[in-house]
Amino acid sequence: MDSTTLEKYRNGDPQLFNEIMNEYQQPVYYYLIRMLRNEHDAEDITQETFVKAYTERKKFRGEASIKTWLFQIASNLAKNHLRWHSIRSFISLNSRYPSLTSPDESGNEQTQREQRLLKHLQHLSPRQRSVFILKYFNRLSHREIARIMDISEASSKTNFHYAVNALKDRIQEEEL
Amino acid sequence: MNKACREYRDDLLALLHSDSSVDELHQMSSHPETCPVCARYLREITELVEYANAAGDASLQDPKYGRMRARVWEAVDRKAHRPGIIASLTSLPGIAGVVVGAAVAILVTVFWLGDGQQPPTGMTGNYPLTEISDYDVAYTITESEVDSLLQRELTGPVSEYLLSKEDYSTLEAIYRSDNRWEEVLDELIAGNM
Repeated sequence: MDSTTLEKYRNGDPQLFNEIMNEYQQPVYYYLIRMLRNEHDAEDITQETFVKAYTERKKFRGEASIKTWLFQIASNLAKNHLRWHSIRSFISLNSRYPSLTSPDESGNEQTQREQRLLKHLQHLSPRQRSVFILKYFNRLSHREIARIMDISEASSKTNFHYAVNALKDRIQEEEL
Repeated sequence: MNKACREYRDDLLALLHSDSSVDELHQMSSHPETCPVCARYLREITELVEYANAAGDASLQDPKYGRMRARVWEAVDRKAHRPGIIASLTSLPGIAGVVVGAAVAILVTVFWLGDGQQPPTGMTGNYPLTEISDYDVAYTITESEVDSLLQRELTGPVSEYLLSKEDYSTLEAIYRSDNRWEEVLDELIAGNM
């Protein structure tokens, strides 16, 4: 982001912010739906991400890209959401969160694969899941992921390794 | 696993980091031709890559982004016009709220606790607060602690079960138990946690 655009963003230029939303709503939403496996929550948190990106725009210093900044906000909100979800599940002893359409309900093979992959992703730790989604689906570098998740690049790579091996094993088991 | 196998797998995963294609993964080394175990590993990684590629974004349902954008601006607008705490308290509804709250507190003190009656059995006055603060404490485990716990101590079905339930309080208890995780799990199973 050049200094003029950065200044416009920090000053809350609505046209620029609309352009940012147009460009990044979908990738942020896709990241969140894979993290949370719930369309309604993903939509709410995408909205919250952009509200925060606007109301806290003065905190953005332009050292990272706007994409990294948005994913950083989304990742933190998702993490908080998962924690509260755990507390609620623990209290009620069963989750009140409906999952996405089950694979059986859809005839589309691609949808079934995505659903199965989402199911396998839920068995990874939140950190491994986030690293895998950001790396594999959002095509971010380990450097960007490290910045988003506030971890080292080495940790990002290690988590990706664990995630790949765990997913590989789960898919193998499923196909046996 | 010998050194050559370890190096091959590290290189393979490094190539995966750089978004390489399946063909590139296969062309990287001739090691799998002489090592059936690594040949299987390559096959499995290839299947994962193909599986994830096939899943893709196309199957995800898009929400109505236009509506979402409108809601963002509404929320931004609401935040911009939200009065501060002092302003809220000094407004008419704020004053009414404070008066009603004070009246309820006085009534509860005089008519319920004031005549010596105790709260119902099993639900002491501070029970809900204790519950909340316990949960707050229970969820202070950090993600790196969860990762290290899973990688160091818990494997297989136990960790999968806890992660599938995102049961961080149990993970926390195990983490704090100085390697007594089997006892902690026994207690959990016996319903003592």
